Amino acid sequence: MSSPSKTSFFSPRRVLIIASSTVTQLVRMKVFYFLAPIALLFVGLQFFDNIFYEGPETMVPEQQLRMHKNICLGTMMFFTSLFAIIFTALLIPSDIEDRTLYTILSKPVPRLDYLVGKLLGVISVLFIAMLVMDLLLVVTLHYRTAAISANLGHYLTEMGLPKTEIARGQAEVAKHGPTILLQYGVLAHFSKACVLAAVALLISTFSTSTLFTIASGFMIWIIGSFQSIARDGIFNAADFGEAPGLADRILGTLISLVFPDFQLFEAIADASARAQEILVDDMMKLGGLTLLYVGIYTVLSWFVFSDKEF
Amino acid sequence: MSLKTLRNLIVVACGIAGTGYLRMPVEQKLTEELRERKAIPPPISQEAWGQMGQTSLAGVLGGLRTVMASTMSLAAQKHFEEKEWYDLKKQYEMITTLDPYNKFYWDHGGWHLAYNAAAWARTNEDLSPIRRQFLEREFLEAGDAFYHKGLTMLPEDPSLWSEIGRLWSNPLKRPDLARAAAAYKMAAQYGNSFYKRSYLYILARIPGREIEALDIAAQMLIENRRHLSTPTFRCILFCLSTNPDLPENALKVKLGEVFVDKEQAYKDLYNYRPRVQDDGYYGGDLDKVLKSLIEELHVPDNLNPFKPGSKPRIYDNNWRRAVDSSKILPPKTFPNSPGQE
Amino acid sequence: MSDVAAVEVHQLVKDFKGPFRGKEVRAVDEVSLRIAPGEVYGLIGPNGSGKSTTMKAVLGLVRPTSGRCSIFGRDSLKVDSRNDVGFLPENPYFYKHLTAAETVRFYGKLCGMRGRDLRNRVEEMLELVGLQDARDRRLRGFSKGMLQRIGLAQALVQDPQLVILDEPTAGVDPAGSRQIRDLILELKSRGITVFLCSHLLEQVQEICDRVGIMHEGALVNEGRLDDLISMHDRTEIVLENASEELLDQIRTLVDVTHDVNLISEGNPRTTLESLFLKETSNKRVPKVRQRLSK
Repeated sequence: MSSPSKTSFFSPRRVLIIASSTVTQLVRMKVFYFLAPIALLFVGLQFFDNIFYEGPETMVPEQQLRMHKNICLGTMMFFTSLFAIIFTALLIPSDIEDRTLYTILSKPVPRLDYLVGKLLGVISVLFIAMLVMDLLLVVTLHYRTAAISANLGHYLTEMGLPKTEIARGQAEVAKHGPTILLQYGVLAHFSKACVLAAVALLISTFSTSTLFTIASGFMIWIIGSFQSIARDGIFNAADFGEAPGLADRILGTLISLVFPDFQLFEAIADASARAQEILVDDMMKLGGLTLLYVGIYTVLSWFVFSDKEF
Repeated sequence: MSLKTLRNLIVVACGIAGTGYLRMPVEQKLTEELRERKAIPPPISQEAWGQMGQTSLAGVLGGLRTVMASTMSLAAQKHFEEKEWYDLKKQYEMITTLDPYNKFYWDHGGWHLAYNAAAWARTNEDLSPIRRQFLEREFLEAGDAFYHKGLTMLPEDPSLWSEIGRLWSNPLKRPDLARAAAAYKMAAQYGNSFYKRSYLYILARIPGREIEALDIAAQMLIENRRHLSTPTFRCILFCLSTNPDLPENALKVKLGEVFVDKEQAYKDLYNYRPRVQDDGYYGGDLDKVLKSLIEELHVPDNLNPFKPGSKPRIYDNNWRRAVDSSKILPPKTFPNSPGQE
Repeated sequence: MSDVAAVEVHQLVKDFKGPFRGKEVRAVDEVSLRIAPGEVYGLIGPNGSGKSTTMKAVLGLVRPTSGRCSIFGRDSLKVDSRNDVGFLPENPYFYKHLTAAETVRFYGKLCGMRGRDLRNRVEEMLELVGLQDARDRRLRGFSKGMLQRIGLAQALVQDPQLVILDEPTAGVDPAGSRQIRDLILELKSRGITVFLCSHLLEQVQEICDRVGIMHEGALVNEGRLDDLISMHDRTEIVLENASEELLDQIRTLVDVTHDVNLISEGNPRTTLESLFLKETSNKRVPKVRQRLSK
């Protein structure tokens, strides 16, 4: 009955056990209930007549679809980012306060397994939420696109245009429907949420207050959205006309070094909503950056947590 | 602060800064690539930040620029309904700052200013006639400026160029065909055959540029003979080639090379004639050709444009069958007509 | 293995930073102790004497300022040392969203157990602590005593060789307390080492082989229980049904014997706990309620 004498430094199985417990914890906290109003919103958008959309004769059906995608993707981004910070910020402090952590760490569980397990649990919950919202988006967008395309087809047929022109018009509409490009946007938002969860994990390892962790997480979210401006000041100082002063340069350097660049994630999501081309290379780079952020924040969390006393 | 806490902070800071140093060039390169492809909007100006309301600010800071733009565009409708044109303009400036690569907002903003606001100014009886004229002009120019500003973000967007062309070729406004032609030229450069035809049509309306117009039409024909499927193109091409001032090497097309048969030719030219009179399209030998066809095809008076009470337009391709339904008349084809290719 | 102590603490010192950058507080001051395998060791002392800190140091939850701790020869700071340890903290809480069975299963999995072994063990533990009927209830609805029992179940799930119990009967009623005592004795009979700390001295007295007494961070006394609490210069004789004449004779004999004093005499007392158990077991209506209803 006794367990192996040498405990491995990192055990995927142990990580999955803790992750699974975290998922169960969050699910039983009824976190998925927030999906209900979101589902209502997504379905409601189906029936929302864009006031600009006066029918196919104005030839802007893609704006209707673009707005649908913007609102849905924006909602997905907002909720997954918000919950990434909050869920992660709640986990470790509550384990410490409840002393649940004592019983876990008194078992042969390396602290790294515990941290990674917690993070993986949160990311799993975010993934499930994102998946559900993505499915809703794809289904509602599919029906919307089909309706708009059919409408356009009727209109162009009545105008007497040849079939090739009608097909071209409908293809243009379909381009703004649920394509693979849209999934790139969803993936970008999910990646951003993962980074935010890792940030919250790091802060929670040395913070004594859940509120501080959440507030800091939000600040990093906001600053990350315009970190690129600070970085531009370093790389493209000439474009700013007047050269930045020493204080500005120092501040800009610090912001660029410390804060993640969330604009990249948002830009790819926005481009996907506009049905603008996104290269696989872009996604690979974004994925690499995500892994780098999550990796370094997790390693640093472990460094702080490994020495923490309870 | 204990030594241990200080040590942890230093290690964390160094770790983050170290990875920051490594990732910054990668992020910058990716940002520049995305900016080049117009996937990343330019930074928001200080002025725009100042004009943002709290909700917009919160949305922008949270990374919801395009969502804020969408919701603000819905809110802008209220300004339109209340005819608050300056507020509308400011709102659209904000919207296009948030989502500058969405041509829809530039299009719509320009439309509100150049059409709705300008029309309101022109017809507003609360204003003096001089004030109406002044305001109308101001809004027209504001709309034009808005389109041009959009083109700084989307310089290769043919539809925005086309909107400028449409604006300055609109006979109900203050047409400036030279300005319209310059815009349509840019639209033709970046757009498809529709925009190329638009450029040709505007040139055909500008006195003194008929030869240039014919050159353009000839190039278009060489590139794509499918232009001949468009009635206006056929008519313009034919009429331009009847210009007596054409140089020796200019393209001169015969009726049979442009139209499938004489019925089609008559129908198209009949429908084209009002546009010559009303919109200033080049007519050339249009009347002479029409008269010749009238005689040859025994056109009844109600379809004779030189007779009073004639129909404004011929819709039916088989108009001759409608005229002479008791007889099945074969169409009057041209020898070696292009329709037989 | 018999030469290797189950728990060895050598010159353990633990200092904590005072609040608001105040001076350091020494929670444990050069404590050394050794617990042999199979022993039941009780660490007693008033609140704030350093008992829990010592336990946490043994478990690697706090890092010693100086000194070292080991479990079966393995450094406490290494994760390996916890392979054979079960720990029940003071006032334990577990994940409230889990049921009793899920909780024990979760900890079993963390110890590397799986499959049928784990399933059987979970049932065994729930039966051992008397929570079979509550196996599918979420811990949110558990009383303190039930949480304590679940704590025991998770501490024992992987069949550890060392069980560390911090105030195992705190807040538990006498019946539950008795059950925990019996359980500890059973563990002892199976050769499992038990390291407990408590400030309920009667219980420590009942079950421990060796006891350490801590005060203000230091281990002020330590040894076998019998050795520590025996009053060697006194003798106790309890008589049943002794007559008054016999008692007089004994008193007289004491008087005449040199250097012997009669310290006290009287009727010995049972314990309140024994009385409580006697009164509350197998009784349908308490006598007090019967009297009040008349």
